[in-house]
Amino acid sequence: MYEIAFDVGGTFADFVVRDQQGRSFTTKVPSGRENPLEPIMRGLTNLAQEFGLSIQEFLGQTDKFIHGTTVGINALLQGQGAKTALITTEGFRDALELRRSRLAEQWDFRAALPPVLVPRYLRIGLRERMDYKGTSIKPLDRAQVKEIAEFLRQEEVEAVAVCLLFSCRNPEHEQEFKDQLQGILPNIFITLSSEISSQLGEYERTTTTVLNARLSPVLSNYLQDLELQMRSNGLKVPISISQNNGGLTDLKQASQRAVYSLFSGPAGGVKGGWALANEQNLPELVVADMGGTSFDVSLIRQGTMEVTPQAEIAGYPVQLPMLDIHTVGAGGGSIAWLDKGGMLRVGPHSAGAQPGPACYGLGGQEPTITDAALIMGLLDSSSFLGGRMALDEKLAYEAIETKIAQPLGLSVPEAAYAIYQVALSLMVDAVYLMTVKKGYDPRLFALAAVGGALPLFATALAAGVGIREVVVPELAPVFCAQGLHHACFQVEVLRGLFEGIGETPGPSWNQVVVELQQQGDQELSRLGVSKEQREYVWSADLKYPDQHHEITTALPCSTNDPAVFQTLAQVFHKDHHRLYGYSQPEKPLELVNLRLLAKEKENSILSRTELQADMERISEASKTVNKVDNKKSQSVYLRGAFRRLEVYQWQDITIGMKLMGPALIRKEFATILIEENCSAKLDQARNLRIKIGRSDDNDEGQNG
Amino acid sequence: MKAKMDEVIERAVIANRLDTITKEMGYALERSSRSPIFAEACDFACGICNGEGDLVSQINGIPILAAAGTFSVQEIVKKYTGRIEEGDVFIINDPYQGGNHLPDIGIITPLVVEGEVLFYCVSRAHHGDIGGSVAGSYNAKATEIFQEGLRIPPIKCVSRGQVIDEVMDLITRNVRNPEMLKNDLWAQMGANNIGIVRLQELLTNYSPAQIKETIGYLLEHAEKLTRLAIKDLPDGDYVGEEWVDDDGFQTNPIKIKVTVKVRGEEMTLDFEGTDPQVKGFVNTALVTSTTAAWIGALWALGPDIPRNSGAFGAIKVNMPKGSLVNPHDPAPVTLSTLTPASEIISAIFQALDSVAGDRLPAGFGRYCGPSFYGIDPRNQNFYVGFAFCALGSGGGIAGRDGYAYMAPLSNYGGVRAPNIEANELQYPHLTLCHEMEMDSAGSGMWRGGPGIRYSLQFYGEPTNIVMFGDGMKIPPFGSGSGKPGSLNFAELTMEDGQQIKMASKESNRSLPSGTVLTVISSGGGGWGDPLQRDPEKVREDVLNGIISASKAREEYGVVLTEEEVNCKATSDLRLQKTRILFGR
Repeated sequence: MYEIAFDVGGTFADFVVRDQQGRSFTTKVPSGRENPLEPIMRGLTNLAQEFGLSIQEFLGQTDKFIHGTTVGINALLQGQGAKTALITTEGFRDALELRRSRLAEQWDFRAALPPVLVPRYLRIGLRERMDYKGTSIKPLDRAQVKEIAEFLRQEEVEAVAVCLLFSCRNPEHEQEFKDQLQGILPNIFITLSSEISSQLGEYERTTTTVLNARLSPVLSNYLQDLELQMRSNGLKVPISISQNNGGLTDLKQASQRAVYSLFSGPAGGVKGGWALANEQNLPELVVADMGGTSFDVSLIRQGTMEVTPQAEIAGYPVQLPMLDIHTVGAGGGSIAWLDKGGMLRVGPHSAGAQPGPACYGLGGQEPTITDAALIMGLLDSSSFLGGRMALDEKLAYEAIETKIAQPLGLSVPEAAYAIYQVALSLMVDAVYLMTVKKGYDPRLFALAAVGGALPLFATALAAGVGIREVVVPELAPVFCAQGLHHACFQVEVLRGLFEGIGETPGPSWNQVVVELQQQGDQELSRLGVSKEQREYVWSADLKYPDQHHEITTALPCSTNDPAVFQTLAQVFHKDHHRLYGYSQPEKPLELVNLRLLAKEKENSILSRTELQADMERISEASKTVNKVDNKKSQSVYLRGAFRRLEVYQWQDITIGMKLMGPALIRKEFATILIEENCSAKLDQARNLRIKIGRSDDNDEGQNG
Repeated sequence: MKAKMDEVIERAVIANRLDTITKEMGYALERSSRSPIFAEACDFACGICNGEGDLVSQINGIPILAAAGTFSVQEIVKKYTGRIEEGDVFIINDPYQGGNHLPDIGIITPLVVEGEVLFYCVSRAHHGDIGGSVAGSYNAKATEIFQEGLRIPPIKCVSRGQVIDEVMDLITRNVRNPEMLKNDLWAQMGANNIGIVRLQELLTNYSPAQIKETIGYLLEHAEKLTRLAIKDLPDGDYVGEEWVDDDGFQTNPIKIKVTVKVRGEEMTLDFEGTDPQVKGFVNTALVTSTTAAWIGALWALGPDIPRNSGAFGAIKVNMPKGSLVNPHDPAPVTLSTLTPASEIISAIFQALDSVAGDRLPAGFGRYCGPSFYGIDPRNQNFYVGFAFCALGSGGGIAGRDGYAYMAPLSNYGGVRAPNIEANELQYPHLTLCHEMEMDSAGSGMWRGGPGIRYSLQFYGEPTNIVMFGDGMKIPPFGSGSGKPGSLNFAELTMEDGQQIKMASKESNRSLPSGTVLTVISSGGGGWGDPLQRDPEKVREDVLNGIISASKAREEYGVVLTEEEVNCKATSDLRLQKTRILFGR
């Protein structure tokens, strides 16, 4: 039997299949914009061939089928989506468009805001009102619902988002509206804000609801097509979809909750980092991924993934807990430029895949990070992307020469190195900010370097932040897909409470606990997670009474522990000091939300003995064939001079072999630069472990 | 050569790190502070100055606070140099000595290395109340700064790590919400501490000399960018004028006049010709007027120039003593960060419209809305709040329409308006309406953003309100052939139905429960000839209820038949209107 996980991104679709022995097989195929099913079929066909099976046989023998998709976010970025109407409380139909006035770019009046997702004529004020306590002070006007239904029918609206004031306190009016409208227009897709997010704040809640209404029909169509095609090709098991929070859900839920899977793919990467952290006992891990347009960082802390209660996607706020992934515009295609004052800058503009870096020869004129890496000798022009794309060094040279080197009075290699270093500083700062702003010391972390481009920067990045160990996983180039294998079903529910934290929990606390657990259990049952396999993670959002932002505080004990409030308070004050530089333990606290993450127990990290035995067998074999005499050398520009670096092929490296930097390791879809004073070796799971040395120490690490 | 390469790299790396540190300070401030105007509306700024008090890096935040940090720090440098010790913290708010207006308190934390101050971390934030005659401290009837609240000269509030309780007690005893103020000062000191720790980390990788060299370069670099942008403008004297409605006492508009003198790489903003200082609180002391002038000019010069002391230093400013923009102490000044700071900027925009018009928008709505305070009947607590949801709208600009619901120019992009839900939770009122107002947007090829109708019913017993702002007489200007936006409007409806129109600057009113306040904020000015607007966009505006069909016809010359553009009738009407315009 096989387990298939795949992640379809903007440029590539990545596949990782595990067989019964726990071995992994991978493939990577270019993903087109046209038909998203096409690369999936191609990838699956490739894999089936590798196993000597027909696709029918292959899918027929598959018992797990996990998918990370960018269909939702692509639709958003390309302005596609269902024709959507928005129902609000009467007098408030503009919340979506008025935003909250704050701008990301305030020094440029020409900068444009992201488009308004529902035009004003399709935003309708409903005669009803809840007050701040959730008490109805104006009943829903049922006659108006009929008029609205008629209007929606005439306008051929496909989806309806409903966000009424204070529905987070009392969803009755929203529910009543939905029931009545559904009765009149049974085929229209309706999203209620109270179903999506029960947090206070109508602008963020409305936007989240509208995103869901607009994108779900698109995702739903795609998932239906996918399911049909997979069924007709022999797949028997249900398809699972990766969610923003690193968990999985089924097709039914995914089709109605597109906004939960906007970060479906990247979430796989964080989950992969989580698995790596737990397998390799690296509980504090920075997971850094660099692709064509961006550099993404996330953190694993004490072996768990870091979650943010709210995020921004393409300029829209999404009021949902999701994995905390920080993105900076520093990818392989990011453009290096000089400002008018002659200062060297890198990004955030990217040449993307089209026209791409100058060296792609597709008409790109601007020097990019990839061009700089090529000039420095880090990339092999003939084996880039597994040899699928020849790189033109001359074009890279010209672009850097005319745009950077000449104006600065530097040689071309020097300019390339400067570009590399400035790009590196952006990454160093991103990792630094991500850790220190949460009060963590970056030096206590290890760095997982994943994605195609990051391994070029990994040792320097680690050194820049003070990290002492880098891990490049065997499957680094398909890491997101690999991570999906570790994802489990999970459900997140939340309830607003708004009460002071007293000595002991009162009856309302106990009631909410029971209700949330019921809610979570109901969903888990539907997803087929048995009672024994369930696990519950509780947390509470707390703040000082006059504060406006909460801190999500993990419940350190059981919900019915009489001391639960005291322990919560202790954790809160400590977190507050870590995050904001002060705390006031003498102050009372307010409980804003109680959160429950109900989930399927994570397969305790697979005992990997079989896998390891297998790997060792393979590596034994390769050791005898290749030894190290197959290594080549390459001239690389580092710190002011070209030097000859030894170049190793990944498949030639055996477990136990120790490589000393400076050196390059080439791998399909990735090149790893090991800088001076660093040493690398494979661990038992074939992750490359690099110890970062300092120029002033000769200590080669404990495992040396 | 190699040294040159190292220098190129080092500069970029240190610059990025300084910006990262201020970002982290800003994040901590926003998340941990208490008063709504500070935490929710984000009315704060923080940054890093060097030992001389030059601003090196600052978060994007409230534009009018962009340079305030450097003025405050310079006052500390002036007064305390030679006496600053590790662990000291300073506090300041006096608008006549390094501050902008009394509610904005600056907290300044020096980083001392071997007896020398290498950096100052500075945070400035608007606090909910700083005492004075009215809660919220916007006293529209003040005639001296002493009626506006507590003045804090540059003084020490923490000495070698020990809080000076006497200072803190004195300050908190003079405000209406002492606990909140104290908490927020803690938040400011906490953010500064974070900055200090990070700078210390930076010092483990680079020597003080290296950092000083780089900072010198960063300031020079910004100055160079500024001078190059000035050089791109043709030499000449460009004159712009803008008016403030009144000062709350006299009823005549007050003139702000600027002559922007461009000579090669030199630019001078000369405010000669501006009206003399006035009785009411629309005077603008030097810190605020100078900052407004600098940021106004930099908006015209381009978005990529770092907003630091290097850039500011390249722009000369002349503010005549005794005028509205440089009054004598103790003239009242509290409104100045909104009006006339925004009008100083607006005057510069109008002056430079002919040479930098593609970067500059038409007129923006001015702030006008009340503070309200009293005892919340739900919990018997004292509260003071502001009507941030009364924001007006932005002017059109070449290439796009103005955005609705924008802070006035002096606060552009920096203020975060609260959600209605959060407001109702915090204050005893019920919101009846918060929507765009039809036909309020200034017409243009690119129209202004529509104004906002904001209506709320108070249920405090009673609710005290103090109206402050401007723009009830002077609308946002139209750019080129664009039309001006609409005026601010405010009215009270009593329970018996009686309606009372409000002025922009009023003293305290005590309102019985059930009173409804309706504010209709300004729509932004239009940019370019409305007859040139794409008729399809006009049709959409009518469909969306942004403009009426009659306005489409009268100002845009667009005729709609059954919701579609009637092309023939439209082109005939537009031709006819053009002829009338040119008198043929």
